[in-house]
Amino acid sequence: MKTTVRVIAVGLAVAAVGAVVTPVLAQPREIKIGGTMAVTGAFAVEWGPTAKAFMEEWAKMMNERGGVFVKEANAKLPIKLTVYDDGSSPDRAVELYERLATTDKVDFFTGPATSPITIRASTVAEKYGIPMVTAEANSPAIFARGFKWLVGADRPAPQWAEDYYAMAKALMDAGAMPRLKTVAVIQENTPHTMDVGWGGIHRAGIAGLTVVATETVPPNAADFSAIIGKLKALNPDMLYVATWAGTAAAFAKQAFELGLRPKELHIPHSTITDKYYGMVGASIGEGITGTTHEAHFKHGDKDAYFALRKRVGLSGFDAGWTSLRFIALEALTKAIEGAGSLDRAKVMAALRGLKYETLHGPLAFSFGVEVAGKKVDGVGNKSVFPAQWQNGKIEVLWPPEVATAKYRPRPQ
Amino acid sequence: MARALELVIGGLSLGGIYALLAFAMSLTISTTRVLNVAHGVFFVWGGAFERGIVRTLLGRSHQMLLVGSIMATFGLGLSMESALGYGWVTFVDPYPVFSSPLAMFPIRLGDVALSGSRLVILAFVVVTVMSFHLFLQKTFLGKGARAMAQNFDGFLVIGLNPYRLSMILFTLAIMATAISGAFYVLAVPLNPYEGLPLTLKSFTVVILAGVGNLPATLVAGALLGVAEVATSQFLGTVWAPAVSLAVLFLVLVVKPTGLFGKGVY
Amino acid sequence: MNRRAATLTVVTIGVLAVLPPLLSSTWLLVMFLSFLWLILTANYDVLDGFLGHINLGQGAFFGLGAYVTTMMLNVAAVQALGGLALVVSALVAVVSAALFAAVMAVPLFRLKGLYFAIATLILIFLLQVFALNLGDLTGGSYGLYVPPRFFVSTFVAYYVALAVAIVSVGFNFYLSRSTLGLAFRCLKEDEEGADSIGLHPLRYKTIGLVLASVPSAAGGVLFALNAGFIDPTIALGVERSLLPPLMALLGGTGTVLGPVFGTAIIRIIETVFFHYLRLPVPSMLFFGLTLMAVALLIPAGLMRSPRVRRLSLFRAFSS
Repeated sequence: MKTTVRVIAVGLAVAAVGAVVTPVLAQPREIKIGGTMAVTGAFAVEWGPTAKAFMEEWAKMMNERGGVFVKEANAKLPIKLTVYDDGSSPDRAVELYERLATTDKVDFFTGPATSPITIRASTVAEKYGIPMVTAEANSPAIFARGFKWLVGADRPAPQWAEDYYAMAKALMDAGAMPRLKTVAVIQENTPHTMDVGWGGIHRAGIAGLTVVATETVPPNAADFSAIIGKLKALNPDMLYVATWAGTAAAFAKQAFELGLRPKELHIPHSTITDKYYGMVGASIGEGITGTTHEAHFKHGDKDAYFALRKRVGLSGFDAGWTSLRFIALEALTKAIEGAGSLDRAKVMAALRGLKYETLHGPLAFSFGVEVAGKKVDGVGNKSVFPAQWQNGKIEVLWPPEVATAKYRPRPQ
Repeated sequence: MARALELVIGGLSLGGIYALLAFAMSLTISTTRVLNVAHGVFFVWGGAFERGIVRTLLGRSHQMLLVGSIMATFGLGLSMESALGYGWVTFVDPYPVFSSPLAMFPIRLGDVALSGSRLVILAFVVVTVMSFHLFLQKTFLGKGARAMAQNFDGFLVIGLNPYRLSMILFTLAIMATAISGAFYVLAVPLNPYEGLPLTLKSFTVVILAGVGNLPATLVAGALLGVAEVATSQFLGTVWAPAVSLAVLFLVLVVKPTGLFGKGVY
Repeated sequence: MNRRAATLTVVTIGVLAVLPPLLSSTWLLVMFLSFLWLILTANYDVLDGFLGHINLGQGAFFGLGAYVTTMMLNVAAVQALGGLALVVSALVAVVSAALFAAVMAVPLFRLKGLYFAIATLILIFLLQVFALNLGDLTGGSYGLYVPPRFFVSTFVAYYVALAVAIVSVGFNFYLSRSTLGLAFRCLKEDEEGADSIGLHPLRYKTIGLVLASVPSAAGGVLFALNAGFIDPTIALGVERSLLPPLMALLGGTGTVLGPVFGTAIIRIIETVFFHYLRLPVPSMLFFGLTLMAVALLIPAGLMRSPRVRRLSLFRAFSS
């Protein structure tokens, strides 16, 4: 008796709450954009509620400006943005994108967070012919499937190393960085970090470096004693640590304690968030180089971008993916303007040919190029900027246009 | 030679971390039979919610208790990690990763390098485990806990209150787990969503040691640590997680009561 | 079983069969995935309700099915078989899962209770590590793609999944009425006693595990063919091992309809939370709370509660 009553009570309560939150009455014509985000679950550490808030504030801001001008309607149309929580689950993301396509009937998609979810979600875009602009999903595998309805703002991860090694070469030639000969690469066994590691290994030649060791660690690895032992024996000049920030913190601490101190410690994800320094402390953090999406951008709609970050309570280098998201959403609206219509095929064509000036400079999508041995279509060129922790702050080192400080060799 | 020593010590100190995860769980499983899949999540959060759960589950039959506890704590774990993740991001900081740079110092014994933070953890865990062990051996409540573990029905027969005792035990355990979490982040960062893998690590050590045998968790943790470091050295770090899983499986199949088990479960 | 129960079953199946053209693709997908969950739950119940073992590794069979199929379909020799490739890879996948079950049964069934549960949980994590590390075979963390021409549309997958689900639940029904099921339950009640009358425990438990692995593996195959892409977290995710026991518990283990109701209710709750309730606080939080509430408040499951059993409708189904 009790159990059934309880079950019915639970069921009724759930239904009641659901009924209260039913969708709002129909609105005049608007641009419907939809997507999912990892508000909870494993990826919520890097994205989470902030990502959803950022996108929603962006839509609000666009609407405060009056919306997007669509020639066919001869008016500026407001944006209606719908973002669901996919809980970091690809299954759920697919279900929700199906819902966005068929029930919510959105016009365009934004991509979810991370490559694994994007790989699945983009199949929905391809199925219905809905243009999808992804932001933080830069695994070449995503773009190597010949999909027609997909573009991504981010530069493929394997290429991140190119920017860093190019800077290293320039600095070494100019004598601002000690001449380094050898590099050891550590990569975490998740697609993104393996991609970053790929670049670390295969692009070392740009800076004249030889790779003396490649170590792969499991996701969320916590113990590096064996690796550190091996590396101490090899004594490489540079360590290229392609892991997520948390794992990198564990590594850096152990390296410090066990006496592994290369001349150059490059951890791409260490400057993607302000928190890294606090995680490892000054004795380790000083002088670590990394890469960041964020910089004091000089082009494009930068004022609006920084205002948006402020609105969501972000400061400094928090939440490094915001520029990617912003550019992805901006590209979509520019394509709509360019196409002059909400017709999906026209907008997709406009996206493919889109070239405009955005936060970091000119943005364009490339088709038919080769990245890390794969032929890809629709990859963007939002690059990352080499940066360094100096005096407890992230300073962008390269390119000179956005650099805030000069490279400092690591205290030995 | 120095390197081999470094590795061994590295493994042993890693074992300290693992014992940290496990000893409280050993205590709770053996006494209350509640299988807390959210153990790892508690490691990060450390609340004292067990009153509702343990009390509800305590009177049930063996099978029901096991399944019920798994499911209830799984649900609890999911909600707690979401709450923590969401709450932290909304109210504190957009990047919910917990890591402490304190107490980090290199130690050198001749040619051998040691991790200071891990030794701090080792010291803490040894002290804590021994304290709990003394608690179980010498105090009235502790003896009651052992009685509960050895023979639940007998415990009821002599008129002691299992609810009260299990609440005390769970609260103690959770507090210890939470404080352990605070020490853990000296060496390894934590985020709200890695509860479940930590729970599994914890199981490994508990079973390896023998459920209910707290000092044995130190030894089991050490063994596991050395095994993982050795695997990392000779097979590659990617296989280290497989080692603990394989070790656990082997122990379960060969001697389920664990290396030092008193057959308490 | 009585006439009423039979009619009801036929009607339900009939309704489910004609539903697809009426459903939007979201709901088609939701239903398809729900059938997969039902398969996992019903299979799980063979181990729990009938044999008394808590198998937290049911997802391993699912994952094996998904991975073996996808791996095979990426082999040129198999692709050359054309349409037959699907059948061949599905068969190999299911057989692999059954073999895995048969082999793992030997060490696993030396254990009981908590130890058995943990050992089975280990299986799925071990498989994940292997899937991650043996990149050349499995694609590693990057995962594997199913070549597009082998995709199975959600429409077709729905029907196949429905069929497999009917087989699974039907098998549980058969168990509740047959001597095999009786043998299982004897083992559950009193293993020594059963052994003494000639019911060799290991043999019967292995049979149970193998039979429970086959439909779940088939579910995994379908999932992979419909999703087109799998990786260690998608195919071998731990929820596929931890949710079926919950669904079985909610519905009532050891009953035929238990898994059906349990799966349905949990899936409804999940769908409501993630698709509809746009609460400012994350849906996962409430989902977790609901799971917890269910586990605490409904210990024996719906189908075992006296109130439900009194409805003659269900009497035929509850055992």
